[in-house]
Amino acid sequence: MTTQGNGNGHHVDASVSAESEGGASLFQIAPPPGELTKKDFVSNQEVRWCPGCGDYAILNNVQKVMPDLGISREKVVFVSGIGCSSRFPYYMNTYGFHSIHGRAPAIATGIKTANPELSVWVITGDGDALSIGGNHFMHVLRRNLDINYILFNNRIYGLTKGQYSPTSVFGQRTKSTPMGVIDYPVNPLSLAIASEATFVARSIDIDVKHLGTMVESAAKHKGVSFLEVYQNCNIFNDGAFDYFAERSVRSDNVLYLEHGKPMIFGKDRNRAIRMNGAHPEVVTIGENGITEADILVHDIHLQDPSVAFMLARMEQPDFPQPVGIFRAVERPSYDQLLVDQIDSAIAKSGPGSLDKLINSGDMWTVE
Amino acid sequence: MSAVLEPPVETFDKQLEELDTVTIRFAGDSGDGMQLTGTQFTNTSAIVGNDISTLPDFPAEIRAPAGSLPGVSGFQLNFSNHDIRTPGDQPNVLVAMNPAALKVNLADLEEGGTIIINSDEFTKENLERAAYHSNPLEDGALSGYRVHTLPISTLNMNALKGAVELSRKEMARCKNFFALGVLYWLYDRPLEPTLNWINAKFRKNPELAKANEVALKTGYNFAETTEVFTTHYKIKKAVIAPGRYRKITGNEATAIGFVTAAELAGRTLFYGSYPITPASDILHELARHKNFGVKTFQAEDEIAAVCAAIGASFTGHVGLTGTSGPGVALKQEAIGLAVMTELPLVIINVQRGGPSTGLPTKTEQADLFQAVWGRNGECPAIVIAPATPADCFNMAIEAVRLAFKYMVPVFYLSDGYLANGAEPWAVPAIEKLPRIEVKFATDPKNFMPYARDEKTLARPWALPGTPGLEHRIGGIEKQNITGNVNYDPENHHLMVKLRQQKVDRAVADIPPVEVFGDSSGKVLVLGWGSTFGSITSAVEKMRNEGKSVSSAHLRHLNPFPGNLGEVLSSFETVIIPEMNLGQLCTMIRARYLVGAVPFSKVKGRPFQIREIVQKVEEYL
Amino acid sequence: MLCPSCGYDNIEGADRCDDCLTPLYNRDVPRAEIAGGLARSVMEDDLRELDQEFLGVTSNTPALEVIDQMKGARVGCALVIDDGKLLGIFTERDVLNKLTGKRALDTTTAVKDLMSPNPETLRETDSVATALNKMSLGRYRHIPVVKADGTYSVTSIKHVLRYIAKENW
Repeated sequence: MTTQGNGNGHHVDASVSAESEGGASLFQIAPPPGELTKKDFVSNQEVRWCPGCGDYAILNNVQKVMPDLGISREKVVFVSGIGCSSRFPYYMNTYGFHSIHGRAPAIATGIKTANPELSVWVITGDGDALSIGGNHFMHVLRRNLDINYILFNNRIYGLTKGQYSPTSVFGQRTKSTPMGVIDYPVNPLSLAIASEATFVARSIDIDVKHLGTMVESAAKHKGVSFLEVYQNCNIFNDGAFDYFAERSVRSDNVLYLEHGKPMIFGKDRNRAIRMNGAHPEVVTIGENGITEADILVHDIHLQDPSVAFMLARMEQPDFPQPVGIFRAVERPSYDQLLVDQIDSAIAKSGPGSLDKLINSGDMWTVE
Repeated sequence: MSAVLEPPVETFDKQLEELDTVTIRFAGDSGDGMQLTGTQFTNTSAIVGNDISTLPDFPAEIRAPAGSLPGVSGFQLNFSNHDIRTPGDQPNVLVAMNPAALKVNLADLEEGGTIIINSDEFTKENLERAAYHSNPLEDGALSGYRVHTLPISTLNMNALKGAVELSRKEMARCKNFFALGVLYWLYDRPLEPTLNWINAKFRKNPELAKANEVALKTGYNFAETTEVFTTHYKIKKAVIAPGRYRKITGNEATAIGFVTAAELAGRTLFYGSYPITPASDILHELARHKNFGVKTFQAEDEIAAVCAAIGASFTGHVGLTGTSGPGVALKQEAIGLAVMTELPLVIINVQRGGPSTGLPTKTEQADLFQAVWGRNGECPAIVIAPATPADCFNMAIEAVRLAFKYMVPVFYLSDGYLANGAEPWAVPAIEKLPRIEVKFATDPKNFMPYARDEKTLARPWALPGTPGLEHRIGGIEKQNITGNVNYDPENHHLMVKLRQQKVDRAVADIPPVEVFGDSSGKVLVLGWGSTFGSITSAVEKMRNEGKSVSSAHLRHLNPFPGNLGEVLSSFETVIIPEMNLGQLCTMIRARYLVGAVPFSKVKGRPFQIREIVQKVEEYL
Repeated sequence: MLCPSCGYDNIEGADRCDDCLTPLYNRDVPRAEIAGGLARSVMEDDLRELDQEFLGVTSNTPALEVIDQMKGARVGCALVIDDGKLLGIFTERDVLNKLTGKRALDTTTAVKDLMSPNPETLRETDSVATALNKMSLGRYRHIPVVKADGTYSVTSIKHVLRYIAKENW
């Protein structure tokens, strides 16, 4: 890992290369929110992901979106666990905490509750979030902390070189499962919806425009925002999503969910989702008398998560892979509720008095 | 109409003997109100000027059938005319309100001790429930003790029947006040403080207040006139420094201490915790202080609790987490992260019997190794331990002070005995408490995330939200000064040494250890944590007999006080009583190359004064 | 739960009242489930909650003498006990029903000839509801109660009425 020097010299062995960008001080106050650009969010660290990794696209996207969110750069904090995706904070020129495997949501909870004005982002992967981090994943979502939780799902363990993950495909041959995975995978969106997440969305690393919109929507949502990003690991699980995400097949295999619009996909915009009793089915508009009026219209604000859950279960080959915002509902966030409780405690009992605190209980005087 | 006996008509002279110290254990079914009784007796004793020390013994089960063995609730109190530091080695008096209470507690009573028994409860059913095959009141099992059998339930009921408008059940519940009245007479205590308390607490329920008052007075008068008691006892005031006092348990002092520490530092307290015996009370207590801005977070597990505290510390709050031994085991990886990111963090460990789930309600002090060395890699943290329940307050402030100054995790090792034991606390003057200095980085021009303070080697504390200081920290090894991820071998060696040196330098902030007694001699008894009371009392006793023994007590265990080596070498033998197999002893031997002698007791119970005396005598 | 002694509002499950330390142990465990008020109390309270009375006579005591004792003690029945053993019960009903005809004139009839032998008894720890049940099924109004120490007392429908009327169940 290259390191940066500050030009004033530091007492480290010369075997560490010291490159500095233009020799200027590394630490400078950022421009105000209205004047931020992508460059302000790029750190001086050389990015070390494998060439061709899907993470580059996501990083680029986030750096592009950040200036438009209207947040001061110093208020942004990225928290990650362990994994390739968790290297993310080093490449963002914001406050960052690269913590321990699976525990980023817990650390983020501490950060956000301590200072609710910060914009807190959790960057995690399928192993970090759903294996060791499964517990914290569920709790940060159900508590509705007002943070943004982005899960880079590459269906493999990349950093440790190729073991299977909780989202790997059944039967997949990996370093630790040479005879094939015998675990059934889990669906992150199902878990997120089951954990009562108030904003649930999904995107694809190479769909730059869509991903950017999702990141922005996640940031704008008040409450916890869960975003799953299908991310290609080209070394250990290349092409895992090609069967629907690859450009030439995408329009026929991906359903772009849009609030208020009927669920239509396909090259000719004539494949769609219709409810047949309690179950969804894929139909062709124009065949068998089906018109647009029969098509299920997407509503992200439904309080009942059943439809969102149903959409989250849709998978090839029977259904297109849905992406977009599945659900976006409003509910008071944990950090807000905590602040409210403190305010009401102060209103009720007055601000804390050490004198009263210490001089209570069974007291007596010795003359 | 009232059945209260008239002022005493003594038919014969009763003796009034003077005693220096008495230890009473009140024991009964959980529904009998022994905690209330014991607390009242304690408070009255404190008001009349005795020194006090108490230790409750809560029932083993959350709810047990009435009269059963797991339902027994006990309260031990030591009160005296001089300075005492323990709730007593063994009770002199056992008040047993039912057979189960007798069964559970008899073995602890001193030889020839006094037993006061509520004979009404020694029915066939209750004896069966207590697994007695024959009635101990009749079969000679109690022949070695002075037994006073009183039909307390009946006497209580007779006093109240017709005198108050209450149901039988409600009247029966007043029998603990009857028993209290008896004990008050026996030990020459005034009734006023308890009468005042009854009238204040139960003003919404005047019939009950009257009943309790009548029960108390009748018990007192009964004891005064009955032939069962020929002697009662007087315990004079102790010489105590004048001032305001309050009774406090270790867990209360811990909670109040950290709220105070946060106020003294001008920062918000964040407490991340997961319920675990015996530390849950700290969470309960802190959750009630939201008007101080205290943020309590009951996490989904121990790891989330400490991680949230670390996140809060990163953001400028006082990051505090509390648990017992098994919880620390889970937290260690995260504590390592705090050591590597050089953030302040305080970890409370209210130690209990281990290993594994161990004995959740019993005390032990076997987590010292875990605190000093229990993390992967070279991962030093500061370790401190309060010595008495009231000291928990001071050490809480000390923990935050050291954590902030050295930007490092601090272990605060309490234990179950301190947590639940109570003693008088001379309430401090708030203005006299020292402010805790905090400095945050603000200027981007001279900022480096891992630049080091000249004296302490601590790195700057830069809070998210501060413009211009945006930087990343994490668990991977860091380059010194810049804080960038760095795998360079020389850098790693340097950083490992720097992190160790930083903790070592905390010795500059640690007061020298004080020796109780002569500064040199044959034996030094060295201790840490809750053994303070027993050790100091034992050494005091022996010194009064002219023996060449002194004691010293460590409240800082990593680093040790700077003068410790010198103190150790001034004695022929160093004995270290510990509720573990010799953890401090091992550390002392390794560090100071002295042949310290371990004295281990791992029974889930504190050391008795005479156990220490006995051990020391072997070396005199 | 509200402390029954001082009224302080404790958090559910507290072992002792936070304010006055009154134990709350026996107050929150499930008891006579869904019943409330008097119905619940009669199930929960045992016979020690009731007032009791006792008049004991030996079996050879002449019945007329027993009746005199009953009048003097103002009780409705006498327990016939020989050597600590309960042999029978002699009540106002027995006076009404059995002291007729020839026996009404015989002053020597012993109470053992007119008593109801081997009466049903209850223990002190049995509930008031049990006593009520026995009284209604057996159609009698007095029940001998065996106390913890093996001695006897009697509880009657009169005592039950008094319990109900007191209203602090």
